[in-house]
Amino acid sequence: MIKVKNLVKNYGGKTPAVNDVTFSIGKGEIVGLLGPNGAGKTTIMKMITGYLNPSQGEVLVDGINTLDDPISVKSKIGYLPERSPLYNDMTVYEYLSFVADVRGLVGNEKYQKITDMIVLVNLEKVVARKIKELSNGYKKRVGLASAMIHDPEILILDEPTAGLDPNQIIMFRKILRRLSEQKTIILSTHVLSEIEAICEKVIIINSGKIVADNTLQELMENHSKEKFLDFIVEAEKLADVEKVVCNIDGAWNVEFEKKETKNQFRFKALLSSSEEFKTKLSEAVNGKGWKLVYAEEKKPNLEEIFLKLTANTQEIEHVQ
Amino acid sequence: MYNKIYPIYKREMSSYFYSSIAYIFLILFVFMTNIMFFYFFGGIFKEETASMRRYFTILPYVFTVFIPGLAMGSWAKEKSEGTIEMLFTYPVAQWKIVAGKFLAVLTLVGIALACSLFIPLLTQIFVGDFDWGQLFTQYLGALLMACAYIAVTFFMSSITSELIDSFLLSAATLLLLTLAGYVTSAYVMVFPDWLGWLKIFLNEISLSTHFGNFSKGVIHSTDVIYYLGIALVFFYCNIKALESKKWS
Repeated sequence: MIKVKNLVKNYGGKTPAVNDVTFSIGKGEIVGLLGPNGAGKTTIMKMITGYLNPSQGEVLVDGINTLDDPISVKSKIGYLPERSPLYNDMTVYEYLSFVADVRGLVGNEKYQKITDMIVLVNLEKVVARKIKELSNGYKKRVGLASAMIHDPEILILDEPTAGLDPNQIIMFRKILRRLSEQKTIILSTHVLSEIEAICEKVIIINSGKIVADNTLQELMENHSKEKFLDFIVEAEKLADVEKVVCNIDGAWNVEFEKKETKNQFRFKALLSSSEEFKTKLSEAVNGKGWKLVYAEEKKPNLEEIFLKLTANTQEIEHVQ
Repeated sequence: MYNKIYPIYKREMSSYFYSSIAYIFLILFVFMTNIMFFYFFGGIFKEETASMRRYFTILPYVFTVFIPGLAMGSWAKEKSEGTIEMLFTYPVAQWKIVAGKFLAVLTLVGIALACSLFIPLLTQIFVGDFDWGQLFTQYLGALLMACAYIAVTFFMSSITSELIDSFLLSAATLLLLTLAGYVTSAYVMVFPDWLGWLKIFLNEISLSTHFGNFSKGVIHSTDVIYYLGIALVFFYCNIKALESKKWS
């Protein structure tokens, strides 16, 4: 359904925002595009929708190159940008009617689709209200309704749950699950639980490059041999412990998790060399006169795999 | 073709009326042009002929401010609010989007111009015969001139992201193109013989001098071609400026 070949997007900086990205997505697949901020997820999505042109490479949607026939490609895609930009001076109904018009819907079909979308995303209460008066959650729903009004084969959703409250997120996931039965969906998000809950396949992007392109099951299996160490250190000051344990060799990444008691601090280390890390941790803790209260090796979950794959990013975003 | 341009046109029109810009534009335009027509430079009442020529003489200068005021947000607002991202992911050719927006502004200018029709109508009823042929030419010329002003403003809006930048750039460009003809008037500046080419050049590129024949009630093909040419060139530049953003 979607083929991305050697895609490059250069905004004029030292390194391209998207660097030689290749992947394909089959019909009916739900794919999560995952990566830290600035990894290139949104740029890839914008190139698939035809909003941006690639500097190199090509995007084929149903065999059609986005540069050769952008209108055909755009008519197959429904797109919800991250900020869900809408015409605030219009009412919800007027906006959906406008989108239906530009999507070429006419007559009864147009009114039926508008009604279907209003029901699907629960917009009945606000249908006559101006968009500028709506909450973020309702704006996202209007954006989703407008992206789906023409019943597209492909849905591209850029951080669809960003800025929503927990109730709205649950509702949004229900809608996406319902849609996932009929459509090819590309979803970018920071929320790993969302990927686990909805997506069949995950593409992890880091610094403009693909670092993983697997089904969730494959990804977990591929990283099943890798481990992380969950450990608690008893010491006087957290800052001192952090300074020491974060610089021990043998781990991709060491993160402070939480304070167990006043003097007990829990850490998580993604291990690159298990034995080396454990030995050096033990030496460091004993050498400082602290106490290693607890330590256990575990298999990584999606969050830890994500952290490992994107570990070279200077600033790792907080992942929910 | 129509079914894709019309939704854009309709949205633009509703946007102008919802946001009150259309009302403010129409009220100010009608008020300003009529004040200038009736009272400035001795006023219409000192003239001995029933003519709208004075009204149309001041139009290029009025357009210089009013059209950028009306059309400055055409692209700048879409960019600053991010709605351009939605607009350009709809299956509509870019020229159709530009055309829909263009026609909406032209319609508003047309309505504003039509608001001055009460002058010849009242003159016809209470004073005497009006030269309707000349009047038709004047309105036709005004609309053609408006096309050029709108196209220039659209282009400036497409290369800026802020409304104020769009307005200032458009108004400054239009003012220069309008005054280019004015400075060639003998009582403003005397050009020495060796600068004769400059005088001709300024006259030819001026947005106001090409309106001179229309305001007298004369249609010259060169004037029609000039306005349509300017409009098409800037219309094309507008599309190219928007397309270039896809590559940047």
